Amino acid sequence: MDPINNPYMPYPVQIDQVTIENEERDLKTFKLVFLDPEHEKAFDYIPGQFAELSVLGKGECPIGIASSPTEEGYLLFTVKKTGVVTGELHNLTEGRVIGVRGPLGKSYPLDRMKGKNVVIVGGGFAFTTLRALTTYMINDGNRNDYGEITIIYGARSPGELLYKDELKEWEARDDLKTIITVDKGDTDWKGREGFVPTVLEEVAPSSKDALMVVCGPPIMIKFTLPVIETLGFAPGDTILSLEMRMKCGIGKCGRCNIGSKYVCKDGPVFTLEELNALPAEY
Amino acid sequence: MLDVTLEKSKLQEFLKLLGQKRRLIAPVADRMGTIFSEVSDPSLVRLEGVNTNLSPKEVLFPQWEVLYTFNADQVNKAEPTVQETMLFGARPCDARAFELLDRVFTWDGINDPYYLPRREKTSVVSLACNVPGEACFCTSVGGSPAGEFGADVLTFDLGKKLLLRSLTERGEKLLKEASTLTEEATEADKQAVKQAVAEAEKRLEQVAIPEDLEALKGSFDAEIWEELGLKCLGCGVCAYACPTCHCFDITDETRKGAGRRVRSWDTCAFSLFTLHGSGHNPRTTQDARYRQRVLHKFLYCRENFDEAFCVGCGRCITNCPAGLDLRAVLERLVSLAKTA
Repeated sequence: MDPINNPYMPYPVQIDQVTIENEERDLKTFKLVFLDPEHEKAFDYIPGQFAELSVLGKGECPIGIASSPTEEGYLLFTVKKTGVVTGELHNLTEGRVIGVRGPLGKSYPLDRMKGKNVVIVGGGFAFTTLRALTTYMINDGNRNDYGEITIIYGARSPGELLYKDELKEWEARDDLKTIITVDKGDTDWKGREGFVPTVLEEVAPSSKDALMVVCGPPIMIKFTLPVIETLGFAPGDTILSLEMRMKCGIGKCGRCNIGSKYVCKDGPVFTLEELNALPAEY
Repeated sequence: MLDVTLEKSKLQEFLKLLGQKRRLIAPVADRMGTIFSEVSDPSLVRLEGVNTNLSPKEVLFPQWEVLYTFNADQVNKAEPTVQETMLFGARPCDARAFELLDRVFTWDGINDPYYLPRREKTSVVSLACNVPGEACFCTSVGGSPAGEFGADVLTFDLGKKLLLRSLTERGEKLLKEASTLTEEATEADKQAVKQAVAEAEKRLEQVAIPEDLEALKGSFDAEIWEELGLKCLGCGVCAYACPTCHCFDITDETRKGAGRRVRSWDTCAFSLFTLHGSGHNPRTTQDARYRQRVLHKFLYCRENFDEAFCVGCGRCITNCPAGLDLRAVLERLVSLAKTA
């Protein structure tokens, strides 16, 4: 059996590039290239999905895919150094081979987003699959499928913002409204200061014909949801992505369930309406 | 359907004959009580006891198994060797559990490449219960002491002889393979079977099972979980002994550059089961973990598979060091639903 017919086997991928994302140096983006074109073809993904990154001898960990399928030839994963597997990943350099198993889980509802305005609200290093979604939507072939796109992205400090170069490019585009904020700026920071929920309240994007996509640390989510409600976004039009400890990724190992839903296969993307129907166990 | 009888004096010969072409797994005496084990000497097979301490689920889903091996950065191709096997003497509840495990391991069209080949190559010859165990409650959860689900052949103990009934084509082939040792069952044999089943069913206790799923959902915040969580030691023996519990972990083991990725049983009773890398844990208390086990079986599995993942074998009751009795918990949930 090989990875194509065994869902527990990772595809071998080579680390092509490692980018240190933040000042604390605990966030790195890994650019991965498939060793076998057949595997690359089989790894057919949509923004919002995740994969199990595999460091042989250490184990696997679930990470959201930060690249968009419009970026051909490689995958991107932004990984925070947290435990055994991510710790080892952070030690690895260009040229090393690791494993990737997926794509896993449900994506953002791209079909539902077609023809609508989309508001993207992200915080901290949870911006990874939102980067995938944005990159996908603003791709030349796709941009006309969507209405206005508004991005509100915040981090603790300027140094903690992910994808800094890309954010500048996005800010320069006129078919995209990009608002970057930090909790507290430094001496060089000329941008906005303020917490994400406050900034969202100020920007006040219209909920008419719009979908809201939110991803961030629990504390940000907690204070952002009431703002989203005030802006008039229905729970069914508010889309979130959950983090959970996941192992098999295919709905068997029983680790990630919340009520009858498995985050690995019914999520990680859920509408707020779906989450409200689940026990508060996440 | 083929009904044949086998003199008990010929049982060893029967097992030896069928064991020539396949691995035989049956209950044998062990220092830990009766366990399911590979048998080379059929004289060791013990059919007297009712439920073994551990269920035979590990025949299809081992407690520990290698998914694949690797060297440095290279994963070696996985070719699990699966032997033709006969599981003899599993009780009907354990055989039915296989039907439930099948659903998990084929869920959403994702077929488990380790479980399924074993399932396909394992003939299940189950043994109906004449005298159920003291913690048994199979008839309360849709089973029967002579239940047919999940088995290829169902065996009845008629004292001096056994009646073997084929339930599947594979079962019929198996019985035909040993036809030199068996005789066609008589009407009297079949009558004896009916009577034995009726008597066994009469002996079984009826346990109230919560049927109102909305009420069960409502029990999530009930106080009983706090009390039960205080009693639960979080040892996980209930899940390890359970024939339908199927949660597992995947971990890596290495030695001198060579390694293997293994899957091993795990349980929601353990606090580390859901612990995130960040330190966050969605189930921080034993209350929440005990509740997860009960609601997963009786609520979430019904929502996902239309069946509770409990076959009433009673192992979680007889093995629990804290004396937690699932039957009593279920009864309390039923009365909670009535007062809600």
